[in-house]
Amino acid sequence: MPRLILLRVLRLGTLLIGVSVLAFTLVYNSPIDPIQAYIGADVNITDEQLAKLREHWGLDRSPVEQYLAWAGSMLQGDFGTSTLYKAPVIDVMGARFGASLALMGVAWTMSGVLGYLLGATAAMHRGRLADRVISWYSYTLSATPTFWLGIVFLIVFSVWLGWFPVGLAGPLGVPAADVTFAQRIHHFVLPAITLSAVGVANIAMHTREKMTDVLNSDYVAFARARGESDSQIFRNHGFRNSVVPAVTLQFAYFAELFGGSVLAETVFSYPGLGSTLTEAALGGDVPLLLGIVLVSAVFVFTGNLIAEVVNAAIDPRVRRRA
Amino acid sequence: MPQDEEPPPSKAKRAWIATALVLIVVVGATVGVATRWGRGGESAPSLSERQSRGTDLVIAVGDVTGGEFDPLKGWGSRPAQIRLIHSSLLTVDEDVNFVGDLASKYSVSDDAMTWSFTLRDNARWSNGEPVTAQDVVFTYETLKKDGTRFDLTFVDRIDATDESRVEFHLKEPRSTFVSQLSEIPILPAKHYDADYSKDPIGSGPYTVVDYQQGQQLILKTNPHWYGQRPEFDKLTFLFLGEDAALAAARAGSVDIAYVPPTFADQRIAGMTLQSFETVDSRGLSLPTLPAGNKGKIQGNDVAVGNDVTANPAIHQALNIGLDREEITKIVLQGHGRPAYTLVDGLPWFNEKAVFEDGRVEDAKRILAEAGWRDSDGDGIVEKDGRKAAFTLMYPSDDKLRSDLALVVADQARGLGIEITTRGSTWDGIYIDGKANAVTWGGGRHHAHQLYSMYSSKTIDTGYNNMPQYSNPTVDGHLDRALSATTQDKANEHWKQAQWDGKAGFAGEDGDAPIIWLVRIDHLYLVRDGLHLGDQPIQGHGHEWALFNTLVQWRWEK
Repeated sequence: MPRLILLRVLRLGTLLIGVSVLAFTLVYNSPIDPIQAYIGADVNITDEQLAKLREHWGLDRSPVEQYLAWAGSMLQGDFGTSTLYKAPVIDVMGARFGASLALMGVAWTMSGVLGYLLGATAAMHRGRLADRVISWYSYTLSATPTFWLGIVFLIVFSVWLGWFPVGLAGPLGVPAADVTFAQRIHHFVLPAITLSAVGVANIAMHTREKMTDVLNSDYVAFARARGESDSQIFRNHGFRNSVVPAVTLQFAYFAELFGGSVLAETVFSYPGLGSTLTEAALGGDVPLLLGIVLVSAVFVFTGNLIAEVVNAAIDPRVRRRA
Repeated sequence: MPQDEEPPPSKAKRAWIATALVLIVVVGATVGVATRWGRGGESAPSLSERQSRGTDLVIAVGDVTGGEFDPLKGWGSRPAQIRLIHSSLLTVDEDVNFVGDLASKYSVSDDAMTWSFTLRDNARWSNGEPVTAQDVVFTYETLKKDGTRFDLTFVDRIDATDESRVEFHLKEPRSTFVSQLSEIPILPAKHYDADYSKDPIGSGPYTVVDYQQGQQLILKTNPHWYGQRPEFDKLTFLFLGEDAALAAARAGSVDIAYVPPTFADQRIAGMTLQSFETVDSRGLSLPTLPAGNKGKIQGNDVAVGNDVTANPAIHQALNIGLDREEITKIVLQGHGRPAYTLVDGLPWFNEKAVFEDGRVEDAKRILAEAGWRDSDGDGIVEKDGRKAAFTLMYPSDDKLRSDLALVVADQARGLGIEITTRGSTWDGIYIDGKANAVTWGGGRHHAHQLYSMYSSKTIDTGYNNMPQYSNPTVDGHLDRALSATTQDKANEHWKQAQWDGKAGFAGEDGDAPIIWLVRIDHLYLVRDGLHLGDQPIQGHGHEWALFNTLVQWRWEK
């Protein structure tokens, strides 16, 4: 076991180095000039001002030097300063991480539970109306771009019905410190539903397939022959055998979840890591971008790790292989 | 035994309808329940609440920050941005005259090298302490030392002669200093530090209650503000994208929302479209040198020049041949007006630079007289075996400029000039833009832009003078304008640089290194009955342009 942990930590370490080098290289070679993004496209500055800014942000040094300087301060826990927000990266991320985590957490739970239930129901009723409805829902939703669904929800529930606010994480004109929990929820529902609705489809369809395999197996045929009812079959054989791929998928879904939240947060002007990532990338804000990329890499890595552990806990065969 | 086939296509339609119904019911129910729950302590303003003429306003005109209230981070490098919570030595009135703000009076010495200011005696910071001459000196010295945000290299030293008097000693005359004096926010020397952004103390009409990065900025009135008390106690600025802002307006939650020209025909109950004239201008920059030259842009070496656009007849033909009214109609859906210089309508604008355009025949005649003829019958003129063809670059994420490029190319073809449009990024444009035409833009309450765009002395600095334009007569006028001792004299010279009767960079017979075409009207959906004051011609940037008159905003009687 200690060996396994050490191995995982090592793997995470090399992953983070690889990801940061790749991200840095991509941003460094992108056509975006960080100084221009920093001062804004409309502002013309003198060459002296330009030189001072380059020096101030360390952009006059070679790319390798820049990367090493960044990595060095990273190891001391300093994420650097965001050029866009002119504030420490750790502060910018900290302010947004909570919002994103809540959004993704709820969407993740909802899509996992609902997706599994729908997928299992569909498989148990394969070919009948319930299955057809669920399959159609899933196919339609997985072909729906998150941002488009978000805009539709926005128009229907915020503009037409007026049930929900148009955006932001709190009510208009209320200082952040005075926003109540109920208000946060109110602003949170629509982006969370948008994000869950799309995730449900994926889990449901995979569960449906796995469950169908289980139901077509010899041991289920045998159980049926012994006179077990549908609910007994589900409890005794279906659940354990079909939940493994659902759980694996659910944790592996962390990556997509992050991608989806970028779009959902943008549509609803919801201040999470996702919308900040877009801003950082478009604005050539290297420190902020690297910070978020690293955090999301850890996030996705953790998701996969949990999937492995949970799999092992549920399925003895996986445990033995490990 | 469960079936394994998918439902046959004939049943697909029924299933689809069922799905849609289930979806609507499930989502609707979830949402409905959640709403009632969420509304427990909710105070999101509803339509009826917003429509009453309250003392607070919700405004969605884009992100009004950028620099987070600190000039060292760029606060004030956007026009009129600082007017929310800061004051400056000078400000602009509705006719774009520079008048006192913190300064009750100011004078410029005869040699234009010393500028003296007397501060008003009732100016207070939002914490009640008085604003002193030392604060002014501190602000300008800090910015000059920093040197990244405001170009103050021409300032030699700044002295506080007593508590309320400040003198600026310049290294060289600079009449456009007035614009900077109206854009630089004065900082409290005692309270300024690296954390200033978190709790900015200013001497403007409002003070920051809460700033939620990327979401909203909430302001309340500054009780110590020296001017007339504003009618609105609280302002909330929402940082929503254009679509979301429009949705918010539709939902009745905002009082002012910016709308791009393409959305201008949207009707929203209880709101009226208000249109404001601007100097936010767009045109074409055309290289004036032949190909093969070398130059710099933002410190990088780039190729300069274009053999076709270097020919003055091409500039002149396009200048009078393009139909600005028509371009305004197509590109801006009519929400704009033709532009002839960068400064149309401002006090330093020369009305002689306006002429009748859309003259296709005259343009063709000019080309013919310069030796451009269509010898192979393809509709494009040639000279010395060279086709009148060049590339026009535009930033591909800017819809307005890409539309502009296409319309210009279309009209130019009618004159016998072939323009190929090419989308790029700004960084790409900064590399190739001195060898090709570019959809250029600008427009501020800042005459210095005329100098930086047309003076030969600014060639190869920043992204100034893109066309590498040089005309000794124009240079002379520009230098005299910059070193003028009064605003009136400066304006006179700025006008002559545009057209002095014989030469100039603008006007029907001018050199036209940049052909200005349109000025964009800023459009806002505004709650019925809300008066936004006597707006000066607005500068570039719809987010900030409104703030010059912030304290005049009121409900109409």
